[in-house]
Amino acid sequence: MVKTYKHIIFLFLALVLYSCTEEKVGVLPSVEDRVTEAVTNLRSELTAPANGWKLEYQPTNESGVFFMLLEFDDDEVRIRSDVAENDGEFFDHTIPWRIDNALGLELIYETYGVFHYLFEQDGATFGAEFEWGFVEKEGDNLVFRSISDFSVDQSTIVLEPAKSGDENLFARDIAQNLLKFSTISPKALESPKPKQEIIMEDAGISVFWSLDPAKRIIESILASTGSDFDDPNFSAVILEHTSGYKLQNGRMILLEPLQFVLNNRLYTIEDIAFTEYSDTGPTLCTLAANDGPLYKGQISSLGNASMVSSLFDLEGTAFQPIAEFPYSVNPFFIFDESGNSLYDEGMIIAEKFPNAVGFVFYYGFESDTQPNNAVGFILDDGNGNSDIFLREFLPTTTVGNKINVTLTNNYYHTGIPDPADEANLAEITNLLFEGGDVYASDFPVEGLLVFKLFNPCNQHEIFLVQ
Amino acid sequence: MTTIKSHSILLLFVIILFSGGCYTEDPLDMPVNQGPEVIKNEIDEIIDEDFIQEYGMAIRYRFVDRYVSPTERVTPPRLEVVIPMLNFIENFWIDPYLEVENGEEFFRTHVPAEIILLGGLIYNEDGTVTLGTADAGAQITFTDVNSIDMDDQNWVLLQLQTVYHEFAHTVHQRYKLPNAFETISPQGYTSAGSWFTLTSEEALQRGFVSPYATSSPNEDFAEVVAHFLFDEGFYENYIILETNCNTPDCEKRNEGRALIKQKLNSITAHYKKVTGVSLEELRDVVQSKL
Repeated sequence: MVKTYKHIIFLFLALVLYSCTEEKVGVLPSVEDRVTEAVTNLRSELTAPANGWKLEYQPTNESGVFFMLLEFDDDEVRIRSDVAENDGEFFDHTIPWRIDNALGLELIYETYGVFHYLFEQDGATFGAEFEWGFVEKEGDNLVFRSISDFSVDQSTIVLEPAKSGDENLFARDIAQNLLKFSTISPKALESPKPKQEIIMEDAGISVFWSLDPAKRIIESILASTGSDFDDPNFSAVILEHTSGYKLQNGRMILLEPLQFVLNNRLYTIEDIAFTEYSDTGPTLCTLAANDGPLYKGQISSLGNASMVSSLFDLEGTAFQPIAEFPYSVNPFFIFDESGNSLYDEGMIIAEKFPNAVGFVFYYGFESDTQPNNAVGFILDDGNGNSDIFLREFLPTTTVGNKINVTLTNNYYHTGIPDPADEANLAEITNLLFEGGDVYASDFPVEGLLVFKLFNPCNQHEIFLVQ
Repeated sequence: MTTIKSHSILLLFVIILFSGGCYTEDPLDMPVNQGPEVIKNEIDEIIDEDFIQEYGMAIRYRFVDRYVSPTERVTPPRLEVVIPMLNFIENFWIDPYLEVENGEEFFRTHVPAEIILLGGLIYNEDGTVTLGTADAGAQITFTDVNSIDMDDQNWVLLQLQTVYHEFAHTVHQRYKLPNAFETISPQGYTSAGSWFTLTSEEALQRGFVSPYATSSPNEDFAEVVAHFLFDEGFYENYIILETNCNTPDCEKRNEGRALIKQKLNSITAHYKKVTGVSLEELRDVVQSKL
């Protein structure tokens, strides 16, 4: 028995020693060599195509698509994109790149470029990336997956060899012109969501939507027989449709076509072929000439279309007269066009009414002693008593989400007015309601119904709590 | 039976020994996300010559994810802002030390090993934003470098506050805080993570130059140094007492100023003693450049 064991051990030792000979070990190169080879191979793949790579980059499932052409050389990558922000900085730029080896091969864009710009959107929560793990070569294409993505659904990108002439696919002029619609929009304490009305002249209808050019997302709100909400023949259908879009070949293409039925007819919008841009569109301010953006084009099967700025907000139509109590807010929540509170030190409300503790908007308020329609402040008289100081405006209604506020020279005061009070209130209210028209929109706050009134003439904003 | 058992154990031992003995040495120190030390362009040459060889301080502008924690969302700087930022660092941080007595020796012996340049701010997972960080004196991170604008006073002061604050930490880390520094305003420090609930006015009344200074004696020390160096109105804001002080708030502010004065005296004496550098002289040089 002992002899048998000795034989087994001898046999095993011989076997193991044989397996440890140099030529066996030498079959597998060192880790460093294998890493270097893998990195070199991927670098060779990336630098190989004569016309570089074509990429349709969709950072998230909800977002639109950004078109890019990438040409890698040994140290740098030239990136051409259709991202028009930052004055076209990302149309054509060159930055360094490298391949790292960590959890696998990683493609890193080393300094700031278009991918980083997209990554930073919404406080870096948008979902775009600039670090990519190499997945595989699929035919001639290279597949990468995001490694800096916090979301469960990591983005995958496919680099396709570009053809000569692919640069003709860019529709950068559309990207630039769409940015011009971003100027008129409420923006205090929220990201601006510029809205447009798409007037389909041949079809006799309009679609109202909000377009986010940074993420390339369109949220369609309403389809109607026009924009005259007072027209007795006005009819409309609420749309709850969201789609990303891409810009290519002179067209804006919806990734999810918009379909709706209005007055028993089915309409479909898949894309808009834009033809002519001008600054002759409506500004929505009654005091200004029509020098807003106007973008003309055609929609397949619906004919001519014009895109103009709009301030229509569906939830804003709920801003209606209330008999029981006035709308009110802390005076801090009144902002100028730059998002500065008018109650901050040195600003007009703080200077004129430093003792203001509330801003009130009486809209159809039913009272025997106080005005029905008025705007003003609740003031603290320094002894713990509140004093209401108001300026009247003419009775009005909400049309769509627009409210016309025509101020009068009638003032109401529950206390003893300071001689300068009327002039001060006149100056502030003239500013806030310059031009007369304000547009209501909702401002989501849990447990509260909060509206904003936006003035298109000077872009001041008033928050109001119902 | 015993013999058979001992042979079985021997067999097992031999198998274990040899099954693990055939591999060549695989190093454990694999180059993972190594810092890009290679010189590829003019910027790398400047960094190599003016910072690495001169001070032993690497400037990182190419993105490497290990420079921040996995929960922090950051971007690298634009290529074209790197050289202007290097000039800013030299002009406003390094040069002032070189221009004061004992400053050069202090700088060269305390300089952090790495300077990280980030293009934007640091976005944290919890929705907050970090303006600048340092890691035990080994690394200082400049944020928002893409916004470099020497005419933007807010940007300039943010960067100076960051670098003077973080560099001040090296002093207490190596030489401890000044004697009894923690006892100057012991009641004013806030509980962990609550400094941001204070206003600047409340911090001043407690004897601190900023709300962040209330978070710990170490941060208090670094904030006093930073504010003293970059804030032109330091004496007016934090040292000189308000006259005609008739309100309780004003009296509290002046009480706070008296405490800050004690801290400043303690810190300047400590700096002089342990580093040989006069903070007053350093402040004069910094202010002359602003």
